[in-house]
Formats: sequence, C-alpha cells, structure tokens
Amino acid sequence: MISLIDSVELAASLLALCCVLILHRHAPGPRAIKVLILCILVQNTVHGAGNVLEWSGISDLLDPVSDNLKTLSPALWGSLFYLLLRRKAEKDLKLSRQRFQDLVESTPDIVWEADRQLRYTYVSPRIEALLGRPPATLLGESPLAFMAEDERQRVEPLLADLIEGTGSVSSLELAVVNLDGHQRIIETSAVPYYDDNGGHLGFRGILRDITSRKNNEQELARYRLHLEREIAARTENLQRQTESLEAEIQLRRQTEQALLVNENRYRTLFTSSQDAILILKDDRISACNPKAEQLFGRDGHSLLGQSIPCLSPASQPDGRKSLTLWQGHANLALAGDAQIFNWSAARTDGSVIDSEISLQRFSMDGVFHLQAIVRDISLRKRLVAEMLKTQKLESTAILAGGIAHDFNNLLTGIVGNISLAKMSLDPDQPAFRHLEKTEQVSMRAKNLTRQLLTFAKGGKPVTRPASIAGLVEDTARFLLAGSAVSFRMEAGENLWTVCVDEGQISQVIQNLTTNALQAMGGAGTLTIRIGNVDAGPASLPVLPPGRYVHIEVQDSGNGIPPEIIDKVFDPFFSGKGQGSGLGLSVAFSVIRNHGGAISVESPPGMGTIFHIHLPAVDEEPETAAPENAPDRAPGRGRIMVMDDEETVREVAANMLEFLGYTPFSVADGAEAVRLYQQEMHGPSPFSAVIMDLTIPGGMGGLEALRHLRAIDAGIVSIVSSGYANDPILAEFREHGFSGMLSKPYLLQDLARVLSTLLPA
Amino acid sequence: MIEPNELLTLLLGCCVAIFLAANLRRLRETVGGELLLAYAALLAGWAFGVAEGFFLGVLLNLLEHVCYAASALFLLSHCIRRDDETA
Repeated sequence: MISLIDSVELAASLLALCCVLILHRHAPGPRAIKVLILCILVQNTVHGAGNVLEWSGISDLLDPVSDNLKTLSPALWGSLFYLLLRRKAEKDLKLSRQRFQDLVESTPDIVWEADRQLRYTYVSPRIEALLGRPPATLLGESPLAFMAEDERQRVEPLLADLIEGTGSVSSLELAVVNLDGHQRIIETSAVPYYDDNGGHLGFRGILRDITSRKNNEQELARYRLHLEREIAARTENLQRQTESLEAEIQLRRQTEQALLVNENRYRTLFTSSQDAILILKDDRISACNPKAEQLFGRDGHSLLGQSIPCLSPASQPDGRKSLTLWQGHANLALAGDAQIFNWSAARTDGSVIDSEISLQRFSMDGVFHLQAIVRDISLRKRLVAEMLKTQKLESTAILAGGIAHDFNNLLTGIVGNISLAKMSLDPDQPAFRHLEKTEQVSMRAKNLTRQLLTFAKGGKPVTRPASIAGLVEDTARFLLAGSAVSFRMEAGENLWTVCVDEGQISQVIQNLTTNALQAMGGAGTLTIRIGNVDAGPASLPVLPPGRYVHIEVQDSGNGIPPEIIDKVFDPFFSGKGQGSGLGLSVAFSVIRNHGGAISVESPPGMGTIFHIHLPAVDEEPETAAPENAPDRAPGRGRIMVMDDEETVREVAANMLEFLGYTPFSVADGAEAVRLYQQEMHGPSPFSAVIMDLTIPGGMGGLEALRHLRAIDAGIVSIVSSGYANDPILAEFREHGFSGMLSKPYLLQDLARVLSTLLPA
Repeated sequence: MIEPNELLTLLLGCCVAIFLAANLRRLRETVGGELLLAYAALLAGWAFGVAEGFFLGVLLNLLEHVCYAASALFLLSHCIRRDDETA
C-alpha cells in the first residue's frame, strides 16, 4: 500500500520534472525560481524513489540521501516562496513606475524636478513642445537660462528667495523664450522635497504652458474692452433713444392734452353754439348740435339721416322749389364756393323758421362733407323792421321838429297879439269873445306843435324817480271823467320805481286813453294793469334783460285789423279817420326816449292792448314840490329881446311895454352882447335879457349867455325857444339861464316869469 | 522514536509556514493554490512522520506517505498548469 503511494509520489515527481525540463514549463520565470522548483522536484523524486526501492526491497542506498534532502526541503520551499514574493514586489514596483511614467508623459503639463540650486534633474518630455529642446538638454540648466534679460531680472530675486527659504511657490507666471526665439508664458509651481532623513534634496513642480490662455485672456480682455465700449456706445445710444422717446412721449402727452383741450373747446363751441350746426354727408345729416334739435323741434336721432329740404316747406318764400334751390347751393358749396343764403325751414308743428344758412365744405377722412350753420333770423328780421320803422320815425321827427319850431314862432306872434288885443278890449264886446276863441284855437295849435316836438328827438325827457301808478291813474281818470267809459285800474303791490318825465308819460297815457275812447265809441271799459316784470334774455325782443314796470292799456273796442296793426305807430297814420295821427307816434317816441318799449296787440274779441315797458330803478320815488304862482306887479327896467323872428321881437316888445318894461330888440346874439356891454355902465343898463335859443346863421342864446355872464355874472337871462321840449329849456338853470319861456307864450306867462326874476 | 532530522525538518517547515501565513494574502495573488497546497501536504507529512514515532505508527506512517504523494501531485498539477504568476 505504502509502496503504491510512494510510487504515485515518485511518478508525479518524475512527471513534474519532465514537464519542467522537457516541456519548459516555467520557461519565462527567473532562473533562481526555476532551480528551486527543480531542486524540490528532485528532492521529491529522490524521496519517492528511495521509498519505492526500500519497500520493494531492492536497495536502501537512497535513504541517507533522501533523509538529508528532506531536511533541506523546508529551506528550499522557504526560498521559493521568498523569491516569489520578491518577484511579486518588483513587478508591482515596475508597474507603479510605469504608471507614473505614463501619467507624467501623458499629462499636458510638464513635470520637472530640480536640485537645491534649481537646476533641472528631470523634465518630462513635453518640455520639447514648449521650448523646442529635448528634455536631456535641459538637465543641469536653471530656468533663468530660458528667459529674456528683463524677465530674468524680474524672476531672479523670486527664485533666490525660493532657494534660500526652501519654501514653495504656486502659480508663478514666467516668460520664457523657446528655441525659435518666440516668447511663451508659463505658469509653474515648486515644492521642496526631502530624503528619508529630512534632508533637502531639491524642488519638484509642474510647468504649464499658458501662452494660449494668456493670449485668450488678452483676446478676451480686448474683446471685453470692445464689448464694454460697444455696451457703452449702445447704452449711450439707448439713453439717447430713451431720452428721445421720453421727449416724444412728453410731446405726445402735450399734444394729446392740447388735442383734448381743443376737442373740449370745439365740442363746447359745437354744443353751446347759439346757431344750429349740421354736418352733412352725401346731403344727409350725420351730426347736429343741441341748438339744431331746439331749432327744428326734433330730437337728434330723428334729424340724423334727414336732408335739409326734408326739413323745409316744399317752396321757399320766393316761390322756388326747396329741393332744387338746396341742390344748387349744395353743389356750389361742394365745389368750394361757400354759400350764405336765407332759408325757410319748417318745424314738426308746421311753423316756419326764417333762417340764414352758411354752407361750406370741409374734408374729413378724405371725403368732402358740408357744414351748415343755420341761424334763426326771425328776431333779426323783426329788429330790422323795427329799425326801419325807427329810422322812418326819426326822419319824420326831424321834419316835424323844424315845422313845429317855425310854427311856434308864428304862434308866438299870433298869441301875443291876441293877448294884447284882449287887453285893449272890454270883455263884453263881441270881438273879445272872438279873440278868446282864436286864442283857444291857437293854444290847441300850441298843443299840436308840442306833440310834434315831443315826437321829435329834441324832446329829451327830464326824468326823476317816480311811482308810476298814481300818475297813470290820475291821467286816465281825468280824461275819462264825464264819459260813459268805465275805468278799471289793476296795480300790483310794491311796484318798482321808474325814472320818468312825468309830463311826457302823462302825455303818453293821455294819448292812449284818447285813442281808446275813440276806439270804443264813447262806451266800454278801459283797463289799465301795472305790474313788475323781471325779463329774461328772450322775454322782450327789443329790450335787454332786466327789471321793468309793465303798463298794459286795454280797451274793449273792436281792435285793430291785422293789416294795419304794424302801421299804428307811424306818424300821421290814423286808422280812425280822425285826429292828427301823432298820438301813438308821440307815445312811441316818449317811451323809446325813456329807454323802454311800447307794443300793441289785438287778439280777436279782446279789443286793443298796448304794452309799455319802462326800466325800473333802485331809487326811491321823489315828490315834486308845487310851484307857487308869483304875484303880478307892474314891471320896471329895460328888457332886451334877442330873436331872429321880427314878429316875435315886435310882439315881445309890445307885451313888455304893456307890462311896464322898456323893451329893446336885437336880432342876433353878438349884437345883444355888444349892446349889453355898452349899456351896462350907462345910465340905463338892461335889467334882463330874453334870448332865443336858436339864431340861424348867428350867435344863439346859449353862446351869447356865455359871453354875457363873462361881462356880468349876475345877469338875469331868460331863454325862449320854439323847441318847447328842448333839453336846455327843461334844464335851463343848469345852463346858466335864470328863467324860461316856451314859445308861444301868453302875456301872463311873460309877466309871471319877469315878476319872479326881477325885483318889484 | 523520534528522528532528529525529521523533527528539525518539521521545525523548519513550521517556520516557513509562519512566513507563509504572514504573507498569505500577497502569496495568494502571486502563487497558485496548488503550490500552497503542495507545501501544506508536505508539512502535514512531516508532522505525521514525527508523530508516528509516538502513536499510531502504521496509520500515521501511511498518512505521511499519502501526504507526500498528495504534495507531489499538487506540485505536478502546478507544473502542468502554466501559471504566469508563478513564473
């Protein structure tokens, strides 16, 4: 059994020997290991062979050899294992070195090693790409050897510090020159390294070619600078654009504001215009203002889309067709010829509007439109008619005034002579009665001339604040006394005060009352209503807005036919076939001179109604002081009569002489002044002077008085004029005269004035 | 009966075994398992050789030879296998 086992040992050992020796197993291995394996195999073979031979009984010669080899066996195995481990360690070291070599050579950076004096002892192969020199040529060289002079001067102190201090540097940038003479920028680090005992052996470090990076950095810096300049330029440009935009925005805001203001302004003009404004497109109304709605009596929506002829009667007042006439005007306006024409339009209720249309084209959105400004001229027409009537009255009044003046001069002669004639007759004589009737007729003629003068412009009212109701009622009642006409007075409470010439207003009421009496045929009812009226802008057509006292005189007659009602204020027009035809003309003139208005209406079945509006004042009414009739006494002294009418001079002289005075007549103011001055210091100076106000072609009474007052400030002067309503006569004291005589005057009038002014 | 050379061999073998144990990790990376097994069998054979002198002489002698044969076979296996690491 054991022999068999030993045989196996022997066979295996021999077989292993064969493998090693014949088949060269372990051929690549080191020789020492191979020898040791062979020794172990030989020892095993010898040991097996010895055992086989011993157990087979052939020989035991191999036992001593086998035992000795067996004793060596642990040493062989130990040596084998030691060598295997050592070989393993060497192989690892080799692998490690190769690894680091590969790393060093494959890295893009350059690894270097230098001694303590910074002389290169190793440089990785990539240095050749940097400096153009093989690594072997650099060994023993200092880095300073590859630098330009100025760079060397800069770097040398740094390297000296490094060598002295044996410290380390990191990221030190150096400029080196390669074999081609080109400068390269490197970045290096250096750390000292030591032996096992801490002895300083030198420095190691890594070089890195940063030329490209530096160039890129410089390029980047340049590009950055360029970008910064671009940004600055663009920022400046943007700033300018922003400022420009802000300015534009500001301008636009201002423009919008101005547009808004303009729009509001023109919208206000459009909406608040007192004329109707229509915008026409294709002859149809596309827009209208509120005044148009008011004028046509329609709302705005119903006006839109209408044409002007549709808002008008079929024919215009001149008989032409509205449509044809409008198209003619519209075509001319669209051709650029602005049109202004009168037009009759119609309201929805059928009433006709007298209007003036201004038609002109304008362009909006490239399309011609028509702008029609329609003005209601109904009031203007009435005013024009009123003005024409007034002008007619004024021209008539001038004529009437002249006639009345001359007539008064003539009447002065007549009346004066009658007065004198009466004085020389016994009242019981028939001639005295005839003269008295002649005097009465003359006085009626005087009243007629007074009315003519009142109607004329010269009748300026002498006004004072008064309450009108009493005056009106007294006048009417006085005239109606004894007639069958009943009188009704309706006066409102707290009537406002008016500033009036009571005489003239009394005359107006007198004329109206007389007119009513004649209209009623002596029987009926006369009603006078007086009240306050606060008139608005359109209440009274011919008067401005304000406070007025309204007097309404209504009779119960047949009224005035419509065809003549517009003529009743015309002078010398009488619808009754009696009277002078001046009553209403005088009333019109008086009321107009008082700043008021008079109008008439005659509604069917309501008789005639006169409306008088007199402007109210804020003053309290004054009460007129009654004049005391002067006592008559025989006159003394010289009286000068200055008048251009010889008849007047003669009559005045006769009347003065009759009254006891010594008359002296002159025909001109200049002569009167000369004589007065001449006689003033003589034995018989003039006691008073009676002067006509108007001397045709000579010095009138007013101018003569100025000269006379310069000579004698205390002169007694009496103004006399045929213009009975002349303002100078009304306000003679303000003009320097002492008294006044209105032609024609009676003997009693002359005596009363002289006795008042001259001492008895 | 103890053979002095066998005892010496065993002692030396144990010293080598201690060396192996100390470097077993590195040896396993380098040397094939057959070589270690071969030495282990050999060391066991040496141990049986010493022990047979004291007890179970026949059996332990038999085991000693078996171990030697096993060691030879492991060594043969190592040589047949071309082990580059060992080489």
